[in-house]
Amino acid sequence: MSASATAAAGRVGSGPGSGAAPVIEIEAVRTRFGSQVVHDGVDLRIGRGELVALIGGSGSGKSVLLREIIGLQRPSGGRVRLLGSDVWSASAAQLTALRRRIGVMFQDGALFSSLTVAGNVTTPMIEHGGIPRAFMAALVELRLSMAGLPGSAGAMRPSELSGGMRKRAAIARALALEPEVLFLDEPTAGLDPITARAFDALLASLCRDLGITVLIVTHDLDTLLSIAQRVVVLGKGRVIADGPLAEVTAVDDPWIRAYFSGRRMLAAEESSDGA
Amino acid sequence: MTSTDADCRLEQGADGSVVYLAGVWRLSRLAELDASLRALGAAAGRLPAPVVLDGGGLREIDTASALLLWRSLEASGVAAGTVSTRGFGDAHARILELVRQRLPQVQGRPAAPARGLVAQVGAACAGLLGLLYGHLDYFGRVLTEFARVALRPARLRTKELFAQFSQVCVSAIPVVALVTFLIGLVVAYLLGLQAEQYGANIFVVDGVALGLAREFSPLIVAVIIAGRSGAAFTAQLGTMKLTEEIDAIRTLGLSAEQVLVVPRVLALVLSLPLLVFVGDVMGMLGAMVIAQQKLDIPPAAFVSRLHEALAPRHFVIGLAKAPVFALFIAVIGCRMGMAVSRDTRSIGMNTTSTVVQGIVAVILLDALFAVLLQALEL
Repeated sequence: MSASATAAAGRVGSGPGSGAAPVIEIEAVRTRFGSQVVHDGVDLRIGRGELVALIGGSGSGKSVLLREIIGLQRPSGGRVRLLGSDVWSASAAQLTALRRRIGVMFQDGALFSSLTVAGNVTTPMIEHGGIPRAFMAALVELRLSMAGLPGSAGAMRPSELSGGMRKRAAIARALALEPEVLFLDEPTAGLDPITARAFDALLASLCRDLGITVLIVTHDLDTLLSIAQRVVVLGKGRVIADGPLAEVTAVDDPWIRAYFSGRRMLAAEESSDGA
Repeated sequence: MTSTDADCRLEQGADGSVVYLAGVWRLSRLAELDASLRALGAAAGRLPAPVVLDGGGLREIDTASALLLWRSLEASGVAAGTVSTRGFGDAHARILELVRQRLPQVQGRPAAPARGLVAQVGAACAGLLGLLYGHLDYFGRVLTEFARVALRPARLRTKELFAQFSQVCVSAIPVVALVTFLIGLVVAYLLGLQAEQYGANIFVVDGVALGLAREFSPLIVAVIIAGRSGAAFTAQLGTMKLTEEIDAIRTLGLSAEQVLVVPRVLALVLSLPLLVFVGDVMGMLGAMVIAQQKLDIPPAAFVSRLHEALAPRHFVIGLAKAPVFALFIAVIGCRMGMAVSRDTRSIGMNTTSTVVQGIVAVILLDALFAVLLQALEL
């Protein structure tokens, strides 16, 4: 992706009032499945235009937290505010309006297998209404191109796509309605390293060029190293570390130490290369 | 010359034209923005070059409305590459540039038109031929596996066989009994209406016995089982195919056909005659109820007439058809399950297809039997 001539350094505020209220506000969220406690008071605030990676061991409730933010699963207690409104006290109509402003990419893409890729991207546009029909085909191609897919991919069925293309198609669908917040569950899982890095670059450019707030649930250390501005670690039912990668790696916690120990050397090498 | 609008305004002069953008350019306002741009284009005609975009009054813009803007400019004969920009905020300029760079990839081609009627019929016929060829091929493979099992009976998965038998036979008894009971009832009632007019009430037993044992019971039971077990086979094997369980079986050096298909086919071939027998009995019971209530034939008279009227061969022919029906239903069901491709949609499509194919196959076979038995004078 070539940098535009007018692109300036720094984060993009989209419109007036940016950065004032946090986009995602989680307060004292508790989640229990029977006797098993997943979250025991999770607090998290994410501001506009941030690219945040959420990590944690298996079973630490990363995906559950994601589902609670987007209104798919009700937490046992606490408050979740998304774009200024409380997700779990919103009416059905409010929740629908809220969901139009977010984009979600599920782990395996969750593309509608009965539709072509173009059909998948068109679906939210038709539901939203107000988009001239003649313009829709062009907008779909723009979305595919933004997700790094060739225009010819639009006519293909999800079953004909490779894993990487499937994820790109899912991104294109998530971007269909110009979301303000993008949620991604394990976007690079199961991709080869080259495709995964290209995917990281795509996410970074969405955040930088379009000012989209991005929350990634991931296990991919390279994603953390290359694009995450902020890393949030879930463990023991709480946020055990939160901040830029360098700060998080310095936190004294057995899980965090074990997680980063193999990569410390590499990270140090990369930062010295970049300097 | 100047045209004004809340969203965009145009100033044309001898040394080029300036398009002033203002207000909120967002996806939710696309229709209004489209109208504004059209009005502008209609008022202006061809824009004199060079064209400058001025974003001084712009509050918000997103990629969708930026795309609309570039496409409108190109539609009025301005190449996007020649347009210069001024007065835009950093974020807005970046979005405009991002979309401008991608314009060559955005053609706005409408989707390819659907195939014509003739092409559709042709594709359907070719598909049907391929399907039948595939069935034949798979049938051969299943027979080979059966031969292998026959040579070494220890290879038969008895546990799976009994599990399948319980599912396709034992748990099917209630629905089969209910439906055939009702069929016996209805047939006896309709025959009775006619026979009563001639005072030939007792001959209802002849009609019901012959019809049920030879045709209705095997056919109806086979149709029920095609919908019930054939569909279940496709859904079970299709899901296993999708979750790569079948591949796992193959990589363990086992034959998926031997482990999964042979027990299913065998279970169904053994089950269907038994279910047809249940159907025969329940159908006669249904007829007996109507005979007593409507036709004044007491059960004792019904049974003794049944002895005289129903030659054993009719009953045997009905039972003998069942394993053949079962073989086709099971092989179609298993093959459609194995033919599921790598997406969830094809499980649903194949399951539907199994039911349709199973029922059509049963009716075709039944017609074939009728002609054959007629020729043999049975």
